[in-house]
Amino acid sequence: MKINDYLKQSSLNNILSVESVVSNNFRNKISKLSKSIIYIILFIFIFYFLFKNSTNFILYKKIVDFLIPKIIGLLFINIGLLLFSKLIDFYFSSTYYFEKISKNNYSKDEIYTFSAGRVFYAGRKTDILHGFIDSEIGKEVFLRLGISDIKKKSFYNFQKIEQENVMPKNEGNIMKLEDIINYFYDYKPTFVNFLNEEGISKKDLLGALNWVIYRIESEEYEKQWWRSEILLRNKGLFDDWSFGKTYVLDRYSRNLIEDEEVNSEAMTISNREPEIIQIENALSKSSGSNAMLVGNPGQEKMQVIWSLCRNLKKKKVATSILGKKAILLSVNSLARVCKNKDSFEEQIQKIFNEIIHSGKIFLVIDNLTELINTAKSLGSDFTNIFSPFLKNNAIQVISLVNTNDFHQYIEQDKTLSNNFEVIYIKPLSTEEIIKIISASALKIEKQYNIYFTYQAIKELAEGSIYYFSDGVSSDKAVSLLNEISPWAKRNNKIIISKDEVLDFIEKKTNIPTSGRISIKEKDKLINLEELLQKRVIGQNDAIIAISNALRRARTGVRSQNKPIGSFLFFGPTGVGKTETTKALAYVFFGGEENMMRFDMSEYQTEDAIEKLIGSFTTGKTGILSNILREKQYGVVLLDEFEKANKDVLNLFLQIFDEGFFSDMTGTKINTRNIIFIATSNVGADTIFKIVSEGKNPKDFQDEIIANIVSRGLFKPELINRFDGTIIFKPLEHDDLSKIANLMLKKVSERILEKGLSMEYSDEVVEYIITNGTNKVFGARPMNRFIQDSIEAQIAKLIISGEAVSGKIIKFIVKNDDLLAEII
Amino acid sequence: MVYNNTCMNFLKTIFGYLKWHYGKALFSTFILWRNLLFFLIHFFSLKSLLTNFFTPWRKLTESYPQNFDLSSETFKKYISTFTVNTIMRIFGMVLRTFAILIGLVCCLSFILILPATLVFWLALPFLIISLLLFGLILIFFS
Repeated sequence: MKINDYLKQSSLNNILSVESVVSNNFRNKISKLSKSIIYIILFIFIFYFLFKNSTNFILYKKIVDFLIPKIIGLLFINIGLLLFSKLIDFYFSSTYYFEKISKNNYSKDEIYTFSAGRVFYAGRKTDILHGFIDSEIGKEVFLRLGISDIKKKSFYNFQKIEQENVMPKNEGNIMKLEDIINYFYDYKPTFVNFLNEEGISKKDLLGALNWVIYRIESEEYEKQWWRSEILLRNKGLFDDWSFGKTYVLDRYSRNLIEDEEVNSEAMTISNREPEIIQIENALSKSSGSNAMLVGNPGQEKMQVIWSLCRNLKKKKVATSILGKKAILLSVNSLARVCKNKDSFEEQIQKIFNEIIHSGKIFLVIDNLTELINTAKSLGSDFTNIFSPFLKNNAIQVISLVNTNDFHQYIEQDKTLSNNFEVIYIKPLSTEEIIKIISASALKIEKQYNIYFTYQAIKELAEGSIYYFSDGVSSDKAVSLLNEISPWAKRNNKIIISKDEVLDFIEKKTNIPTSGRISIKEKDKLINLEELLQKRVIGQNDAIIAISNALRRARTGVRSQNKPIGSFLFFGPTGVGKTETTKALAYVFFGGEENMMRFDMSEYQTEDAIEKLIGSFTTGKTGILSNILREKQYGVVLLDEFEKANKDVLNLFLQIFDEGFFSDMTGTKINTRNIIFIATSNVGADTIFKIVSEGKNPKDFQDEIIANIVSRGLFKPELINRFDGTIIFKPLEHDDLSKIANLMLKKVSERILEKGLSMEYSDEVVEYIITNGTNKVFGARPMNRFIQDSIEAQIAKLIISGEAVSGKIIKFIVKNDDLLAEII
Repeated sequence: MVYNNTCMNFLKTIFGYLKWHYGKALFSTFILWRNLLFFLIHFFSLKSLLTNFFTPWRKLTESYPQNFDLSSETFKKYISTFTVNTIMRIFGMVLRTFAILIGLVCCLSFILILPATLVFWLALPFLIISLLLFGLILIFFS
């Protein structure tokens, strides 16, 4: 079937052809021009009537008489044009049914939606694909996807026009633009390949498409001033006359109906109907008609209330709250005014009495636990004052409580919790967050004169979850959006793409954002084994395992909801476990200061968990939470991990699994950009035994771990939670020799700064290995031995004045003693 | 052939428009009037003023003594409370009457101009054509 025939089957064809002749832009221009001309003519007439009797006018009477009818004619034409453009506006508006922001009123015989019709209409002389690229919607979608005009045009010209053998289908339902996109994915492989080459998935294309449709529809919607929901936005002039005056409550509260969020169409996107129905049911109960919304800290709970208020305004709510006012009690202002127990209790009593008296209010308490704690700090028992009112039918309360606070304070308090219907607020999905911030972005774009691509919006939503673990994702995404806009403006960035968002997040968090690997970093990643081996001797297996994990992390292959990596290093003391960690911090994270060390033997007691994450009762903050809040990117070394308390081990189980933990206040702390390395020398004897038998411990890893588990110090579930369990073997003679050489080289480099050189023979190295290492502590005593024997002698020579710039200090072994000579 | 097709399409479009103007849009004007009337009723809070017509002004009342007896103090208190409450009630009624009257006058004026807007809407296509034609005549033939 030809597109033209298909188009004609719907009654929307007429309006599409009108639109093609007098487009929205054209109408706007006509309307503006006519208005300006009308104003000028009116001004001329005023001028004429004021000065028509003056001598100048009389002199030019003939010309004036000639011009006046022509000016009147021009006025008529412009009034006609203005009326015409407005009439077409009405015509267009009244046939525009909203797919995204309101109830969709399409009937089946209309065949296609307005946006789909526009694409068909644009392609009536070519084909649907060309029509899509040519249409205003298509052009905007490509812009939103960041596809340049040149690329688009080259594809457009390359793509042959193909008359459709098969038309898009939607199983008898109204045809939407999504169906056309599905059709492209089924029948236009060249287009799909083009998108794939640009790194655009079907989900991205649909996301950008829906955003563009939403933009068009919300602008159309705002034009329709005659809609009852728009006309009834503001409150009535004498509404307050019918309510009991709430003098005290007014001082500590605000009417939520007047909030901007209630009147914003952007906020209607997230679907909160299930929660709203639960609230309405709770408030309709015959006694204890109160609801408690429990959810993550942030605005998500409030968003549900705003949605409820929107319904309240439209009068689409249960009769129990129909016609009532939603009043938000400000706990902070109450706390500011009430300085003692008596005044607090008096004000609370008055507030609730006023609410009962008014009869037209349901109260919203944003943070109930804060109110309880404020009362407690003043020596008052809020629950006791509150409970009788809660049981009263004349009062309806919606409390908003954070999940942690709910479990900590309210769940156990049966007097309080029994009077509330508890409703859990589900966090919004990434898709819903993308919808919310894409709607907000449209307003911000106008304000800052910037332009977001769809990928940028998507990255803002995903980045808000990944890089900022604390708080509600939709709030964080919106605040990121609000922060990035002035930043972009300052940096003269007009188009904000994914790269700009990643740049911004990187600057804000100091965390290198994945997805883009710089050349310097690329070199590091490719040569990681080589770089680590320069510092860590004899532990190639461990180095390979860590290097692979890091490469997985930086290329985005790893799970995004876990730390970069978590490793458990088993091995005897002094074999390079800590050195590997330091080397990693130095090579990959830019310095050893990015290694955060915790000696787990300090966390053996019952209060260990409080030391790490803080305590609510004492108000002390935790060491782990403090450090990780400040530094969200680096290596955390957990030395002697097996010695930690059981609760501490459980905390790390959660961290390795979820990539975050909550501190004493319930604030989430992100650990998704951290590498955790736990070390332990449990099982060192087994490793020694295997090595002494001439075997490689790597080949007996399972046996070694089974042996460690059998000792009861590590549970199998804990070991399994690590990304890798790495066995460090005892250092062999060759390894120790390399380490000794490495350390001596470092000393040599240090004294070179003073103009001195150092020489030593293999005998010296052998002497250091014999005296500076042992079976139990491996290479650990070597550093100390070099300090005592080599560095101490050099120091003496420098002080005595024998070693001056240009001299060579030579170390030799004589009579089983290490001596220094000056050459 | 192409010319005929264009003509047909043009006529169809014009016909489609007129069908909308004198069909769906005419019906929509009634909805628009209804919405505007609701807006006026809402704006002047007429519903709430009427349903609460006898309610004391801003629900300001005093409470009656709890145990009624004929002792002079309690009786005095009872009478004074009754007087205050009655005054508040009357005061509320008077103010509401004024507000209701203002609202009703506005609604009535709006209803009265409805026939005029209806005529205007029916004549609008012709009015536009007349304005354009008359304008052209004035420019070129006067």
